[in-house]
Amino acid sequence: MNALTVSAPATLDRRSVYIFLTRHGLLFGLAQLLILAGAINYDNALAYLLAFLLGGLLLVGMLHTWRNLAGLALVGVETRPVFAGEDALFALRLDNRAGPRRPGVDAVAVAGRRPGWRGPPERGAVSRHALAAAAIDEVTVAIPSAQRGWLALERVKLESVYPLGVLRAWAYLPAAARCLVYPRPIGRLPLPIGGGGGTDHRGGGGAGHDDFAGLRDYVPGDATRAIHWKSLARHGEVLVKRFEGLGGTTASLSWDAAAAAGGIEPRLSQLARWVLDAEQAGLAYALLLPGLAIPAARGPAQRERCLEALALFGGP
Amino acid sequence: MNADGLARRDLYAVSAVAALALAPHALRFGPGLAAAFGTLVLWRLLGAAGRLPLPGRGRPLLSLVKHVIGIGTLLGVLAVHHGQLGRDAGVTLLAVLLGLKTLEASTERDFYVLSFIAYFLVATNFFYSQSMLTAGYMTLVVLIVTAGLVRHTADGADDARASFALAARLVAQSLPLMIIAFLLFPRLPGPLWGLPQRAGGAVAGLAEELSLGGLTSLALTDELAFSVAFEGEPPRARDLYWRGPVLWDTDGTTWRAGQGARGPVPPVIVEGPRYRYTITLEPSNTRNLLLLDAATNTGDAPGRATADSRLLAARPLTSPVRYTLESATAYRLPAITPGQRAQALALPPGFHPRARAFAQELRAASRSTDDFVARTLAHFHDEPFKYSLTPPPLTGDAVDAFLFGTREGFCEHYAAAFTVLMRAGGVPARLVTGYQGGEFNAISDYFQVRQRDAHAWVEIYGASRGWVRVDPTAAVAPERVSLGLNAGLARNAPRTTLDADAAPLRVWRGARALWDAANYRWGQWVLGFEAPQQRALVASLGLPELGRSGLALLMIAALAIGMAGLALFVLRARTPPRDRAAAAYARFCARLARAGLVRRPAEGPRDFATRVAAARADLAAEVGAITDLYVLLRYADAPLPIVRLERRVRNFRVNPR
Repeated sequence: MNALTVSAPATLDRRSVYIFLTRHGLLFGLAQLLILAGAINYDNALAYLLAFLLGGLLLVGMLHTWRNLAGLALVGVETRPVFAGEDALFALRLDNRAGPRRPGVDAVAVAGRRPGWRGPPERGAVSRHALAAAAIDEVTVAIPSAQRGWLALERVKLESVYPLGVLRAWAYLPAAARCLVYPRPIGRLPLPIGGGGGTDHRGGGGAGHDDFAGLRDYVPGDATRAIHWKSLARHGEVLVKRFEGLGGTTASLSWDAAAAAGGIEPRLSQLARWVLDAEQAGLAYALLLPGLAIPAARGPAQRERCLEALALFGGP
Repeated sequence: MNADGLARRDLYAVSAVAALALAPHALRFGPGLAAAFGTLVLWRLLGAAGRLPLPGRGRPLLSLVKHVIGIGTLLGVLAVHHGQLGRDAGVTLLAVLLGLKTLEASTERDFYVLSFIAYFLVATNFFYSQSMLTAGYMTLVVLIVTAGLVRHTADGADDARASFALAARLVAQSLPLMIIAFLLFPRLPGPLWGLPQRAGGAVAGLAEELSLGGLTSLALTDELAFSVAFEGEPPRARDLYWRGPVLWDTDGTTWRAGQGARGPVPPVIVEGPRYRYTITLEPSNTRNLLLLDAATNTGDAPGRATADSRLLAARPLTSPVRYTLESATAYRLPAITPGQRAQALALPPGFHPRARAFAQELRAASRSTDDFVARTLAHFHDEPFKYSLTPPPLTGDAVDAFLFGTREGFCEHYAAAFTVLMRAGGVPARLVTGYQGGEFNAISDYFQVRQRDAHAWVEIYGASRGWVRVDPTAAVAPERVSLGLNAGLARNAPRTTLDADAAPLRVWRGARALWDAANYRWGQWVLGFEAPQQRALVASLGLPELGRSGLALLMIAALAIGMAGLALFVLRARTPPRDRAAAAYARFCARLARAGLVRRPAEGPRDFATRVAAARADLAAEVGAITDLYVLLRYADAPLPIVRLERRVRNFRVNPR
């Protein structure tokens, strides 16, 4: 399930692109001053010309650096849910249809403040992009997700020192997109397998004992023990083993069954683990949370429905 | 520390450009500089390739070596240059520092620092040469440094060629701003520190003293001394005497200016036409402002006139100057102070006994001063005196040895000997050095006077006429004066085998005249642009005389206007891809139309494509692809690069059947 947020285009107009000298730009200015001093001292016409050429380069560079960001518009943000601890990825669609080629554009995602969070807003890692001319380009930025729930991308900071490295232009694109963060799928409790209410526990390895039913692509969250290492070694593909044989069985993933995991968050993590395990084992599963019951089913839609419920549990 | 923050590509680029910027210095300072720099850079490059260990953390010995090189160079340079950090010492140090900086370069910051040092190195080259050739070469270096910066910031997105193209665009767009600043930046007088060393290479100016032999080397160089443009008809070549140092005092072998320049500036009584002319003087590191004979009006010459009719600048000239003044070639200078008369008659006691005796004898036999002068000149003419640039050495009393022994010499021998004879005969005389003649450049209508045109003559004082010029060399080799140095020599020398009028030589001369004309403009408009020219420019704009701050304000205003114009140009709206797509499609249709496949009005692109495909099966695939791209771009506003359509249309060919 990919979520495409199509926001009102946020265009970087005249006033929203800032520019200033970089650290190296100060050195560049110093070199110019030294050349100018030499020109005055030796009364040297060509040294004057060089000093002024470099000065002109700085001014012209300002236009070019500024242009490298100005006029870009954010027309949409695409995200897909992640598990807590992974990077939340935001694919930004940048409209550059009337713009030049823009190499050396750095993008950093700035997260929205979560309630109760003190300190500076969280930022992702810097990624560098070259945007094609006259096209809509896609740029992916990441924010590490720490906890379940919505992770808001408040804005994206774009930065560029192209083409001279002596000036830095930067701008903030308001993004207003959010990424769903599922609970981290961890927990050691066995999968509660039973007919109905989730009281009928079947011990043991759960999915491990059943009949091998083929391989499928790896999906984030799959247990490492299910990875088919041979095909990884042979073909470099990450595949996981799929098991069947419990088709008729239903796992009842209830809040109570996960009580042994501990507090609220560990319980949610355990439930997320179970959702993945049950899905992988080809079981139908129901999710029972205080105030919420998702009837038994299986398949990607069920998986996402359940994980979303876990991610947003207790939230507004 | 192998290039963690410093990409190998950047390291190579910056090393190469530093070598390019240093190359002219290496030619100037000899192989030592190149070897020192080359070794350090090679060490770094081999280190980057993993062939050699680099100094750094964990390698104290190598780091020590590095520091020893650095400190050793500093001390060595200081020792060689006697503790003075002048121009030469500065360049040597900079070269070694650049090498050391390259050696330890490991971060992105180092890349920038090295690039900026390379820019600075370019400037240091200008302190030695400001020729057009240097300017052209250094422009290339600046472009390469800039391209390196572009390539670095593009981080792999631009290749070398694209980086260079953008750098060239950036530099071209900077030119208007550079010109504005160059024209209007207030020129500050005087050096900021120390006395600058001579700029402009090994140009030998006229010295303030002359000892027999000193003019030989000067006479043979082709270096330009100055250029002159006359307003209106120029004087005849034989009247072109360019006055330099006037030498009064002699100790028997060496002539010096002495105190003759002191005293009131004599009036000039003009007896012929006046000539207005502009001189563009090359830097000579002397204070001599050359002028034609005697100035009737010193115009805007940046110096003062002296009692012996010279023009002296306030300080040694280290950059080209340009000034306009007025002179006469027929005139009288009827003024002499008692002090000057005494100087103009003084001879060192005990020197030149034979010359003195000869002069006194001649004077006694002469009816008048004029007769004495004429007889002396006749002596040079009638006796077997010979004009030669390579006279035999003079032993003993130089003047006597020349007059009665070798009888072979050039202008300075004749001038010095003649002055001695005049003084011995009781006629006040002074030795004038300067240049004679000049080469006319018909392309730009001006004269070029080169160091080989250096000349020496004599001025004698007569009660009726005042100071009068006498050129004893003319009595020996009149061609030297009327036709120039080569003609003067030709009289004695066998004719060279090269025919002076041969076609290749004419072409060569023509090319050289063009090159000289370009150099002249270069010197006049670029190198000679100083405070007076700046004032003239401001006046020509119809502005009142501006002070330094006024000029600065004018410059800032002009720069702001220039920036606004550039902003409009750089940030101009681009054609939206929709329209570009339509334009590309129109070109595509035009190509088909030439092959007889005309799109009907109101025929949709897809219908047209189907019709074309039916008519020409060979075109079907390409026409279909282009039409699809066009429809996507034009109507679906698809996020596809427009260049894809444009490229396909450009390569689209309809082969005739």
